[in-house]
Amino acid sequence: MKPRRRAGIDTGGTFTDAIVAAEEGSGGVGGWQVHKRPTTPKQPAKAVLAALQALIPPPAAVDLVHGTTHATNALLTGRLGRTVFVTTAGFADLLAIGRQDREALYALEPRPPRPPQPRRRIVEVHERLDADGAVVTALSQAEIRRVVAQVRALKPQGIAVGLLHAFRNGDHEQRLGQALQALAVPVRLSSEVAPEYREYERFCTAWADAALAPVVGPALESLERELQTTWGSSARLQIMRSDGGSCGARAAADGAVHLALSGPAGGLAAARSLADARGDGPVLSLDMGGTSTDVALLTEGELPLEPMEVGGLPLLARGLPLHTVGTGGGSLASWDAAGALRVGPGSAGAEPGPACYGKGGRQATVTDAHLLAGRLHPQAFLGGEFPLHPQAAAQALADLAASAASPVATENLALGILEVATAGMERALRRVSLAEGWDPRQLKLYAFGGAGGLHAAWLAERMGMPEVVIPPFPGAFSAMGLLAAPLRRTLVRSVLQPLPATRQRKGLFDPLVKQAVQELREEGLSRRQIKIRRVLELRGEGQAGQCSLAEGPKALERFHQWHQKRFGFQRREQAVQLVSVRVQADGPAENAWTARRKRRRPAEAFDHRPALLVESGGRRRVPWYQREAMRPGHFLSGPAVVAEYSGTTVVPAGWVLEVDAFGACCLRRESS
Amino acid sequence: MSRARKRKRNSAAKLTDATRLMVCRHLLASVAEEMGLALQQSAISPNVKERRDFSCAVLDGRGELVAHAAHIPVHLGSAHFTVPAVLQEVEVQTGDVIVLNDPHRGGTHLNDVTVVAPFWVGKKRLAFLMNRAHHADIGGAEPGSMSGATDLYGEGLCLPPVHLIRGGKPMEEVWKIFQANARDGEARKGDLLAQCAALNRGALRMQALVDRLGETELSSAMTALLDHGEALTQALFRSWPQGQAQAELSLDGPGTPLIRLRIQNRGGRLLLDFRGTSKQVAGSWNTHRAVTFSALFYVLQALAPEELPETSGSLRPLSWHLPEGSLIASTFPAGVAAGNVETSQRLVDVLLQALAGLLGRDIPASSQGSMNNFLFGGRFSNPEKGDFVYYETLGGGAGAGPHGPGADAVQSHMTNTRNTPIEVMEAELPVRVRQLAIRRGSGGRGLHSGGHGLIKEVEFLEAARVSVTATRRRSGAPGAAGGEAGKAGVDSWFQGTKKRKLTAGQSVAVNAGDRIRLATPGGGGWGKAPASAKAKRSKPPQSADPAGSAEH
Repeated sequence: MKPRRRAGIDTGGTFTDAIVAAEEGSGGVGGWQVHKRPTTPKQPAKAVLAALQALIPPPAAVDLVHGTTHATNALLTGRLGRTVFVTTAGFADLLAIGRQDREALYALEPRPPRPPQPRRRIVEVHERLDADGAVVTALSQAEIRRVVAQVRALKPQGIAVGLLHAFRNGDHEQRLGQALQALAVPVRLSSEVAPEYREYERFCTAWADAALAPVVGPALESLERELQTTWGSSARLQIMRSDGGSCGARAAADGAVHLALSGPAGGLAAARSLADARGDGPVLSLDMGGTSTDVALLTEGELPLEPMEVGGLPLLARGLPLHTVGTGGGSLASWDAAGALRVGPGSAGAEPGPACYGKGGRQATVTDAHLLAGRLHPQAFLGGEFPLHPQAAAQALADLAASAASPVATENLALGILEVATAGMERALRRVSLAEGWDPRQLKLYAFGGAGGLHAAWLAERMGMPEVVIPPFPGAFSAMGLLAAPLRRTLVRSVLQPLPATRQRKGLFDPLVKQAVQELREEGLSRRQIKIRRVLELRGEGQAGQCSLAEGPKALERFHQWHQKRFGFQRREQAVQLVSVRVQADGPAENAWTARRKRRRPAEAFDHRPALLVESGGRRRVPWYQREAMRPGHFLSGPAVVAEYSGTTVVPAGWVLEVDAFGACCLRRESS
Repeated sequence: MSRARKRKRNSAAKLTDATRLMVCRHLLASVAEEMGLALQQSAISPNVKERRDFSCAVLDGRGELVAHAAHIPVHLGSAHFTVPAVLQEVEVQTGDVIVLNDPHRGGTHLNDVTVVAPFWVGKKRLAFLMNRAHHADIGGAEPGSMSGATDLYGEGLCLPPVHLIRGGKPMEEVWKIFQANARDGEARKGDLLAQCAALNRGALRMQALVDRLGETELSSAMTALLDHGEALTQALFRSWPQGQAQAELSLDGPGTPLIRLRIQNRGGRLLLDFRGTSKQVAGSWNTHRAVTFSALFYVLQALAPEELPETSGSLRPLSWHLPEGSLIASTFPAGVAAGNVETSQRLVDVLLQALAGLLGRDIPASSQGSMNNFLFGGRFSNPEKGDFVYYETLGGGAGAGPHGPGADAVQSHMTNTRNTPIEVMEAELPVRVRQLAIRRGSGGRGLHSGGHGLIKEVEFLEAARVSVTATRRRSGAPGAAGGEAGKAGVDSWFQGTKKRKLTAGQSVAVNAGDRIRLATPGGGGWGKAPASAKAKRSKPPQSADPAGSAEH
């Protein structure tokens, strides 16, 4: 019998990327086969299945791990199921009021983002708990019947129940939930979806889960059906979750809020798994695409999972940390009224795109600056399938230069654009690392996305970072992360008590462990295959900043060390509060990274072209290398440019690049 | 080392000035941002950590603002008044931290406690780092320190610029005085510690910038940033019609003082003439000129087509007549606690109205015009639990504009603080929130209707002193372009079945079981309402249900 094959397929804004481990003799590069095709926005499943077909012809025992944008897009566009929200009497408007702040401080006509939940589909219920979870107003059977009748009349497709203080005591929510089951639509309880304090955030999370269920569930079920029809009944669909793990299609539909960042999580999970394979400590990731750049700090050990925010809506479901910067390859350059150079926030997007795409764009973008500076190869972009137009880029930059207040050479302008774009990225990278108490000089930079490698060494130089790692297939790296994603559940519960002694903490974790294990067993795992990680989320009594520590001895001492590192002082007299306990349950992880034997030898250039490298000072002819032709152990010295199907890497003078055992390009400063 | 330095010089030399400016702007902004993160994460009180009522700034060696991380517009234009006031009174050396809150000597209002530290490179004072956080209490007659006083003495502890830390050594006496004069002194001390820690973080980052760019480069970049801000504001003024306009509005605080403004835009300078504004009043409704500048900065930022840098350079192209001793440029010992939060909102309305006259542009109707400051405090009956004190500001209706209806129940203009979650409020304080709702029907009618205010009703589980400091309690926010005014706010006190109206600025003693309800003002409507049809309300998420409950 042929072994099962695993495919990772990621639906992106422009492209759908697919990757599989190459079979013997299939001619794949570095052990992988990659396929990219345009996304089919109206029916994303079409491109997903076509991409799979290209790599694994049916029938086959295939495990398809899918990074989906369904949940994200549904939240961003508001195309959601008809939802009824049930809440404590007096608080029907809570979802509409939110935290009463406005997103744009200086908007004269602010439109703060809030859940699109019309008031007429909110039902108030007479009940009340106090801050300890004790009953102030009991929930009567008559009231439950009244609420069910009122909800039924609203013909919901999904129901969310959010009651004040339910994270302390879920009894009222559960009784309502049981009664509402009679309506045979998904019912979500805030005390189950996100048993954490802060009512708006918890309600919003439960609401999003209920509103997504009727949209995401059927879409995933139909994809799985089609998969099994074509590839055979043993084919299985798994979905990437925001927490970097995966789950079966059914479980994904049952907890759609966990898919809110399904797409980007793949890249972050892959970066962390490559860092683990390479033995790297904490790393900063930089994912630079067409319209924006995502940066994240990925610490080792416990995953740095955080509550998420999508389209301005807070979701307590934990996801990998992600910070979006408004600069990508398509960001537009312009002069401000006082003659200073700005890059972004406007973007040429995918249509018309940068001027050099030749699709009608006239304004200079970051990508045009790269091309003019000779850092992109007009005939080697996307493996030559997508020729770039240097004249168009030059014209756009010349137009911008001509409109400058004082004369500026086009080339200097191109470099200026790249400088400003890089400074913006540096600020974002600093914010995410320093905010967590990490000095960037202690971190390695993992850069991917089509344009990550163009800025990476430059950023590392500026920030004093020791090493840059450009993973294989940087432009399809999110799909790579899907391959490595284990089945996972992340469960969190607020505790809000002084940190109890180790022995007493077990009781707090046990119910979460039991639930996570049960859910994973329903996905076909045995208890022995499940690995449990227990995490304490701690903070100083009354403080906002909190840290995640692995459950274990000396938690208090480790907390004080963290406080010192992050804030520069300790307050040992202050009580330490256990904010919440978190359980991460993982199935067996597929090891995506197999070390190959390295043979040290110089790489061979395929071309020499003049390039302007700010990192190296001035324009000069530099060698160009083809990444696909490089094997573990190949090395080269900067200045040089490495072209690849899905991304380009600049190696400045004074830097060396070597392909490591996993096929990643590692850039380091030349030792003197 | 020498090689690294050479590399730096090489790359710097190749940059055009326009580029270097923007690069340095990012780098300095990241110093301020990092201070803000450090402060928010390590502070103790909900007002700082949850509501983010603070700001952080980097100033040059003379005290000109070069970078700012603020969530609070009311702090925007005030930072550059601080360092000159400090330098006039004390000598600053390495390792010093100066604390102050005197509104007439570098502060804003007493609750905003400011810490400032010089940053030295060798013998040169290259910069100052500073942050300002609103402390929930600073002493005075009433919990929360924002009501009941007739002058500054009554508003609470007033700190002129004094050393909090000298040469790295905490001045214990000052800490003790500070802690002894504010309610819940432990939390106050914790917040102040966090403010100092944030300064340390800022200093570390400044040092890294000096190592990287060199002191000369950094210093000239700061100068260039100020010039750049100036040039941008000049360009903004030049793009506006030349000419004059005026507006006036009164406050419904005691004595209904008037703010009168004439503006003149000519040759890249904007003249603001506040002559004719009422004299400073007894009570807390006055502002220092710093707050007047903050309001102006906010308005310019909101009207500018692209972001104005938050530097004091951006304010250079302004001329003004600010009558000394008036409501909006008060002098010692004028009380100012409410001026910061209320008069500042009215200043925005006056400025927007005057500029609407000049620009002839469609400017939205007035927003609620108040911050609805809700304050209370007392002692737990269980003596082990000590004191409690609480402060928050409430959102209201935003003014409608040419693009659509005003948002409901949202913070407007000079503040953007978040609310305290009910679950946090009830866990930490002896209260039960009975209702939090949109106050339907309170937005002014119009072609686009004003946003509705909100209702918050709180039941007290212990006896407490409560005050509501608010305006727009007599007249609502005016509409624009033919729209109607929003409803004025109403604050009530329920004792059993007895209901009383609270007067703004009044403090009352409530018993356990009493309830206080704030109903905040709606925003003004925009455009004439069609005769028969209902005002258009598009369907943003916060849109009201026409069939919803009637106004409370």
